[in-house]
This record gives sequence, C-alpha cells and structure tokens, in this order.
Amino acid sequence: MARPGPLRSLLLAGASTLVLSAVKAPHAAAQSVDYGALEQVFGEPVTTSATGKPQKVSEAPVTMEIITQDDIRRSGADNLPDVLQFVSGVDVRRDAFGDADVGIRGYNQAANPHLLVLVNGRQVYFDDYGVVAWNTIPVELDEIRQIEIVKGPNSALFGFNAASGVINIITYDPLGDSVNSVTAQTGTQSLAEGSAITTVHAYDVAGLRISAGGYLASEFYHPDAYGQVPEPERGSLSADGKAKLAPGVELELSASKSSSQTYNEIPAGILLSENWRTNSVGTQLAADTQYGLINLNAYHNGLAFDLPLLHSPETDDVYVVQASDLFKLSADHTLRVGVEYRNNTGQSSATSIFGGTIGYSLWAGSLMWNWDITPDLSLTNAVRVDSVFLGKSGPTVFGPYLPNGLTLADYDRSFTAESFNSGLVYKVTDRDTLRLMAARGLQAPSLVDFGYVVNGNPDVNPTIVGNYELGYDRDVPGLGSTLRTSLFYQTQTDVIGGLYDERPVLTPIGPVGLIDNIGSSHELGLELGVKGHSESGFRWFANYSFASVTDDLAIARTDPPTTNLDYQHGTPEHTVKFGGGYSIGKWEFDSAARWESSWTDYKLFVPVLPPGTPLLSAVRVANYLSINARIGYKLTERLTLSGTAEQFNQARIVTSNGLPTERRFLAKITAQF
Amino acid sequence: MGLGGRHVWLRHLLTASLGALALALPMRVARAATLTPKDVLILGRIFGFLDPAVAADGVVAVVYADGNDASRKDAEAIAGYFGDGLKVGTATLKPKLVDVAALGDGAGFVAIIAAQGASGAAVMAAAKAHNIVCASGEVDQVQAGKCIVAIRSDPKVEITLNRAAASAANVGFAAAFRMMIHEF
Repeated sequence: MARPGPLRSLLLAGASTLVLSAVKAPHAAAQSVDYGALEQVFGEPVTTSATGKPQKVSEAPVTMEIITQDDIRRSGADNLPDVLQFVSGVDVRRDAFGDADVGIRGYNQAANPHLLVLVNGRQVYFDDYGVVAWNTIPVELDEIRQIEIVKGPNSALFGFNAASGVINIITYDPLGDSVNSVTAQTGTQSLAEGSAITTVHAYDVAGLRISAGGYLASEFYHPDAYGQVPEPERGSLSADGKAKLAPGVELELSASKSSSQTYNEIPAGILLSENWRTNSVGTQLAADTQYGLINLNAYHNGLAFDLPLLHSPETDDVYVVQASDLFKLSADHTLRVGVEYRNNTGQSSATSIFGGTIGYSLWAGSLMWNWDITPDLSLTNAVRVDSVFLGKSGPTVFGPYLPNGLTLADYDRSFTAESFNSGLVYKVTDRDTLRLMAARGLQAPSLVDFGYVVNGNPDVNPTIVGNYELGYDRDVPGLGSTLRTSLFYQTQTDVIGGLYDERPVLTPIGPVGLIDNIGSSHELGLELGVKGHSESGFRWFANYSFASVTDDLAIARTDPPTTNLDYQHGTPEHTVKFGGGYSIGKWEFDSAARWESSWTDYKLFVPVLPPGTPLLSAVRVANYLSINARIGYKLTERLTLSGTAEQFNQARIVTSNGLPTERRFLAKITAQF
Repeated sequence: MGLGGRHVWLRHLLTASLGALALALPMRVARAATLTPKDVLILGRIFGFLDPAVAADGVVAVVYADGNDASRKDAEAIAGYFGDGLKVGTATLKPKLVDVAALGDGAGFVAIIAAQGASGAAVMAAAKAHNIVCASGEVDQVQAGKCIVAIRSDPKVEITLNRAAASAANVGFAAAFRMMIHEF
C-alpha cells in the first residue's frame, strides 16, 4: 500500500513551477472562476460541477439544481440535509437529531455510500465506511454561495462515488466576497446554536474568511434506544484564504477542524453513539495562462472516528493531488485534461475494525471535450480512467492468515475502472432546451468493504452505475417560472452487498463470509419541477419525483428478513414537494411541504432478546407529510430576527427506522456587518 | 422493469411530452438589434472581464452612423442608459456620443459601443488603433467582423465574440468568461 511520501511533494512542486512559468504576460483577469461576477453577467447561477467548465446551469449537459444563499436563508433550516430536503429527486432520511442520510434518485440507505459530497471541490465523503457525515461538514450555512446538486452519475469528472449524484457546496470567495455575520439560535430540543463568520481583505490582493459554529441539543425522544444516547453536538472551525500572486494567478489555502457527537445509524441498521473528529488542509493554485485555465489542487482530510460501545476507534487519512487544464482548442471546441493522484488509509488497532491498516493509491486521467456544434446545439463527452492499487498490513492470526481467512498477499490487488459522461444539449427555441444524456459512473467499495477485519474482501468490485436520460426545460416568462423535467433509466451492476450479504467461503482457517458483489438493480424515474418568482415579491416551487426500483440481487427475501439491503422497497415511489413565499418591506414569509409515499426500512435489534428472536425486522415507513414555515423580520439594516417551525403539522413522524423526527421551533437572530 | 410493465402511463406521458415539444419547435424569437438598458448594464459587467482590466475612470464612445437619424437616436438612448456611469470594478465609465465619421483613431476612449448601423471599418480601425473593445447589439455585424462583441439579454443573456476581430484589436477577456460565450 502506498503511503504519503516524497512523490506527492515532488509532483506538486514540479507542477507549480510549470504553471508559474507559463503564466501570460501581464494579465489582470478576475479570479479564474468568479461565480459572483459571472452570475451577474449571465443572470443565472454558474457552475463548474457539470463538466469542469464554467457554464450557465441552463446549458449544463446534466440535470442539476442550484440552491442559492437566499434559498438557504428562507428555508429556516439549521443544517444541510434540511436545506436539501425540498429539492426535486433528493431523498432525506433522518435517523436522529444529528444524523441524516441524503440520497439522489433513490437508493438512499443508512450511511449512504452512493453520493459524493464536496466543499469547493474537496471531498467531505469519508472513504472508511463510504459515508457522508453531514454533522461534521465544516461549513456554516451563512458562508455558502450556492449548493450545486448534480443528479445522476458524474464519475468522469469527479471519480469514484459520484454514483447517484454529486453535491458540491460552494462557499463565498474570500478574495471577492465579504461575509461578516454572527448568528444565535435557540429552540426546542434544548437547542443552543451559533455561528460567526468574518472576512478580512488586504487591499485587492488577499482575503481571508474565518468561520466557526456549533450547537448543543437534546436527542429526539428515544424510549427504546440501545446503548448510551449522547446529547447531539457539533463544533466547526474553518479558514479559507486566497491571494493574487500575479495578474491572473491565485493561490488559495484552506484548513478546517470539526467535531461531532451524535446518535448515528450504522450500516447494520442500528443507532449507536458515534464520535467524529475531522481536520483538513488544502491548497489550490489557479492560473489563467496562455495554455488555458490551469488548476492545481492538493488536500489532506483526516478523520478520527469511534463507536465507543464497540470500542472500535479508527483513523482515516486521504491525500489528493489534482491537476487540470481547461482550454479552448478553437472557437467551438473546449477541452479539459485532468490527472489525479489519491492515497487513502484506514487504520485501527489489531483487534479493531481494520485489524491494522488498509488503503489504496489511485492514479486517474480524465478528458472532457465540449463541442458547440451550432450556437444552439452542443455535445459534451467526458471520460476518466482510474487505476487502483490496494494494500493491507497488520497482524495475522493463524500463521499467514488474517481473521477473514485471507493472506496479506491477497490484498496486493490492482484494478482499472472506466467512467464516462455524455450529454447533448439542444436549445430548441429561446424558451425550450432539450438534454439527452448517458453516463457510466462508479461507486468504489469502501475501506470497510475491502478490509473489515472479519469479512472484508479485496476482490470486491466497484458498482457500475449506468444512466440514460432525457431532459426538457421550458421557461414560462408569463409566470416568471422555469419548468424542468427529466425521464431517466438507471442500472446498477455489481451491487456491493452489506454486512448481511456475505458470500460463504471455505478458507484454510475454516468457513468465513466475505462482503461481495451480489447482483444488479435498475430504476425508472421521472422528475417534474417548476420554480418561479414575481416582481411583486412572490415566489413558489413545486416538484414531483417518481422512482421505481427493481432489484435483482442474489439474496433471499424471507420473513423475518435476513438482510437490510432492499433498494426496491427501500425507495419511496412518489415524492411531492411544494412551497411558496412572499417578501414585503422588512418581512419575509415562506412555507414548504414535503410528502413522501411509504417505503420499507430494516432495523437491527440487539442480541439480548430471547433466543429465536429475529435480529432484523422490517419497519414500514408510512407515507407522511411534513410542513415547514418561516417568518423573517429585518429589525435594522444589520439585524434580522426569524422564527421557523419545522414539521409543524405533526409532533413526531417516522421517517426511517431511526428515532421519529420531532417537530421543531427555532428562533434566530442574525447580525450582519 | 423497463418502460413497459407496471408503468405504461409513463410511456404515454413521454409520448405526450415529445409531441408538445415538437409543436414548440418553430417558435424562435426574433433577436432585437438595438441595445436595451439591461444590455448596457450587462455590458458594464462584461467590461469587467477585459484583459487587461479597466483600471481607471474613462469614457466610452457611443458611436452612431453618419447622417443616420435612427442610429443617432439609438446612440442617445444607449448613452442615457449609462445613468451616473457604468461601474466596472472600481472604475466608472461615462458615455460620449460620437459620429462615426469623427471617431478617428479612437484616442481617449476605453471602449466603443456601436449603435444600430454604426459598426464597420471605421469602428474596427479605432478599436485596433488603441486596443479597445467594440460592443454592439447587432450579432450579424459582429459575425461580419465589423465589431468585436455582441450582447443580447432577452430572454437569456447571449454573448457573441468574433475571435478574429478581437485578436486584430488585441482585445482579450478572462478565460473563464470566454468559456461561457459563443465564439466564432
């Protein structure tokens, strides 16, 4: 297994030298991708999350949604999953106060491994379990410029785990934007929450934004909880600095720390107390050169994770170095060439989760080609190839054999995986846009899938996600609205089985069960959405999502169940979301509702029950309606008071096998300066 | 399960959607050639992507065709859209009406805006002489190399750049901006 070493330093130094030597003679361009300035020109959000090229969202060759800072504020939400829950095609299952899983187009599950989440392009997805712990993401809601949600696989740009979709959280630019605010919030569940953000600028050449935030609260009602139930809490500190080194050249440095203590649902289907400590440090160099827009990006993510009940502390380290060049080959052809090196390592004691160390290094190359065939017709093709080199170290238990009956030599595995995205965008009229898309995405096995001490399997393959999609958008200026529709067919092959889906293997130390690929699944889906506003201050949205999943997995469906892997019954078929708002003078009024049809989840009961009692039990999540409302009042130019009622229509709703989600009332004061 | 089976209604919906789309095909809105107040506002923002950037306050020549009343009225309207001046970063740009015959080599101007019918050799000559951008609402004139950049903001912002004209005038834009516009 490759470890952090001089190679990365050498690569970074060499590439930096190359870029600085190629910078054009005096250029005074704005930042490489100035989201704010470009949005002001084009009158709509700009994204790079579709192809790596800056694009108007309406022209991106993917189906995507943008949540703006205004949307975040008006939602009244105090956490990211609650902000995301009203987006078409996005599923949110809340298991406890501080634990929620977010899925795109179904396939959502506890510790959902299908979704890639990034903050300014840096992954906040953890490779150990293949999970996003939303409570640990070191970003405050007030420092977010926009949240970009790409639906469907986008591995050709982002690599592994951009399988069901990508959520890229874009914060304000420390150099071009000035965000200074303090918030204090309280509410039910004994909530005490606050955040502070400040930005300082040194003339026009350097900027630094520092943010901090956190909360203390009481857990939802939990009479039947297993183990110790912690009081949920979160703390976060981050700094993001950017400087102009030369005209057209910017260097960004960022660092963050966060901590989270929550009652969290683990993949086995049970809530346990979890402690998370994360840290990150990264640097990015962007240069507008005669060879195009060159980006060098390097970062390290660190995680210390513990399930106190199971005494299984582990650490996870990810090092990533990325380089890309985006350039126009001619008036109609744009290319993006990228390379990436990644090294991740999961480490634990000899008797704990990994039984030592597991990890892989990865080399990837990618190419994106965008062809403006006519001003109204464009074709984008992107491909990426990932080569993975797996390795493991740790004590063996019976001679050369690990507890799973394999040898360390069995982990000397390498494999190559390919992904692509292809999209045709046709502006049929000034009001109508048609998109035709096809993609092959990849979901990597987690480090637990590869190397869990008792059932990890080095031979498990990535899940391949195919997506075939037709999208149609229509602007309806008379209503100030845009209608967006998507019809898609998705396939998943080599689905990675869970803890309960082990393949029995006879090894020299006896029979063992190994995590394995267990079959396929496919989905037919439809999304219809409309969003608009009027000059008089009204705004509205409504969307409907349909998802029909069919599993073809090599597992037996029994009663009582023997597995909790069930995408077919675990995905709500129908979801309806709608809402509206009105701004008048110093007041803002908003309300949003979400209705979800019923689905099935699975819960693990602890083995202290009488013999013969089934471990797993199906939990029917009945269809439910949840309604939120917020009122905001601008007390002065700098002070805003707001009150939010979340799920005010019901005191408790079962939204998963976890703790029923409770009604919340929040009061917040925000000072901006 | 594919498109058949349990969800036949989806197939009908798809068919109906494509039918509605086909009916919509011929409806392309004619593009206005004159600049609107919104166009001029966005032009100021576009100037913010010039490379090298506009560093100080300056004057924009709003050029009209010699002896063409309609063109002059268009130029007067454009100049009126400047209000107190176009903000470009920390700089403020003021308009000045100029008869194209009196434009000369464009000395003293940081940019040219060509009113209806004003684009042409004289404008491009001035742009080349002082490496200044020429902007217009007439896409066909930009395509013909008689101006450098065209803007249209309704129903959506569309910006067109003539690469050869920009190169001839040595006018550059930030790379990210160029990724988002139509070039030819």
